[in-house]
Amino acid sequence: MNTILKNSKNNMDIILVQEPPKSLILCVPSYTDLTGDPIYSTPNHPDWTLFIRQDPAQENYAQVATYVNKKLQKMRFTLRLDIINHRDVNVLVFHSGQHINYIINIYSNDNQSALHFLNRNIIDLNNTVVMTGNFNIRDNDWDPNYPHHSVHTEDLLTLAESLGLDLLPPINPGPTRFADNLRDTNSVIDLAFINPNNSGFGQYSLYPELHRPSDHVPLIIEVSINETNIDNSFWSISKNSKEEKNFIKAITDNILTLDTLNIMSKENLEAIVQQLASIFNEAWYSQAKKKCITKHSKEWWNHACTESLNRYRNTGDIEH
Amino acid sequence: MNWVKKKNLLTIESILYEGQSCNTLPDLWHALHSSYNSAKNRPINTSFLNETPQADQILWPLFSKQEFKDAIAKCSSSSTPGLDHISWRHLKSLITNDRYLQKIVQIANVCIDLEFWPSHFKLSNTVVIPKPNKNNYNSPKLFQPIVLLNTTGKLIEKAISNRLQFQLSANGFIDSHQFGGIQQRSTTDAGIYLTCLIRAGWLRQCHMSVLAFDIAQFFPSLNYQFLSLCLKKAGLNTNIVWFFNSYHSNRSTSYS
Repeated sequence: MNTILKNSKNNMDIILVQEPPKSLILCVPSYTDLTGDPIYSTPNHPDWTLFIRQDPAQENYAQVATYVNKKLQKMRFTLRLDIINHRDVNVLVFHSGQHINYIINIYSNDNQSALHFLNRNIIDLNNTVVMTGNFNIRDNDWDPNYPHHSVHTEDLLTLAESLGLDLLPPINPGPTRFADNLRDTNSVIDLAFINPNNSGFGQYSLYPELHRPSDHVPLIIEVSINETNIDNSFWSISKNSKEEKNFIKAITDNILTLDTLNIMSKENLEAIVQQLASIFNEAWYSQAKKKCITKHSKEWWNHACTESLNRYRNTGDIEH
Repeated sequence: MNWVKKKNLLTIESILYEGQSCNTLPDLWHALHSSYNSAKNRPINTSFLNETPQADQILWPLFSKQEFKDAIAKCSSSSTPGLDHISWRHLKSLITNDRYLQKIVQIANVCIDLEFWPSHFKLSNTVVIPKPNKNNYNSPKLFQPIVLLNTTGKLIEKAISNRLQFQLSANGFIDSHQFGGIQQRSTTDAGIYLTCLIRAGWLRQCHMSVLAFDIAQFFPSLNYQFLSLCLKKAGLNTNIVWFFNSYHSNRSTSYS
């Protein structure tokens, strides 16, 4: 999992994991062991936000985990335990412009407890864009090599229909789980239900070459994200900078041209104040620069630091 | 969680309003707007104002540059600007130019003269800040909204506010028991006054008790019609009263 998180930070946005692994997170000081007591948990990475339901009971340990790339921070992903609080289901909400959308990550075990839970607890999530995961249901409808139908298929399709989702086949159909013994055959049990009305969520493909060390094949769904929805930058003018001086000068020069002495009517006053607003606005956008605060940004870094660093880089002289 | 610095909200819950979670933007808007403006348009009985004597007529001379310099001197240069991006720091620098300041003073005088507050000064951005040290953040009441107005308008408002306070103190309209928001009256004064009352009671062999209460939503509850009547009673001329009518109408804000 650590390797996937490390390697995927530039080309993946959201990773939905079923049966998440546990790995050594850290060793805490111990009375009995010099090396410390190991703590095992779901791995995380600084470039990703992990959404997982916490439950101290070992048997209730979450069977689904969702990683969201931190570059999508502006979309404000939230794990909505107030809607579904279940070991095997993650309901994530995110904001895309003016819209609120849901993603459902499911691990339905052999007893189909997640599916039964969702069908018992009717949820009203109109804007669900995708529901995917390991459903552990084999059916001839999506697995041509399997001759039978499952009793759970109807429940699953009813749930998908109630959420307004369609079961889509991948671009390159094939097995999604490889059998771990010679008796069984490879199967299709990992499915993706996608909202047909949401043009952002496109087709998906299977990537059998990426499956190791898991016995499941990763499904990769293509999503088009509007750049403005994830743009974390903002406009700013640094204190005491050359831009700030230009900004003040631009405003002063322009405002002195306004005729505020002969304002005779409300309409005239409104127009003058609107001109004042336009002068501020134009001066701001002519001088302000786009900035982006990241975890590497330092609060104390100022213009003098930049100048010193540039001087050092140019001259190599550490003293001046 | 602190008032300042970056805030990471819990990622497992939504805001609840009247028992329902707000899952859509219209729901969230309704929850925030209803909570922060719950007392809007409530009917009030203004008859008790009849007992208040009419104060002497107040003269309203033109603004001076010095009033604006005094008003801006107390403003924090580090506070966040409104939608126009002009911070107090910028404005302090701008008004060092005497001709610029003259323009602002002229606009302020015209606003009073024409009884009109321009729409640009009414635009605001409301930032909803989580209150520190709460166990959860699932109710609108656990957040504090702060309205960021355009700074030039705020400077004129401050000059008007200082002028009003001076004039109303001068003609004795402000109640002597009002301590909040009045210049040269502090919380310490309120404490000393209360202590004085208690000690006076003790001298008369009385048992003293204090009833303290808080008025929820006090500022959003201000009724503008009532405020106009108060201003008339305070001796302000019709120019100022009509100016405030324009000031309070057609305001808009956006939440972020």
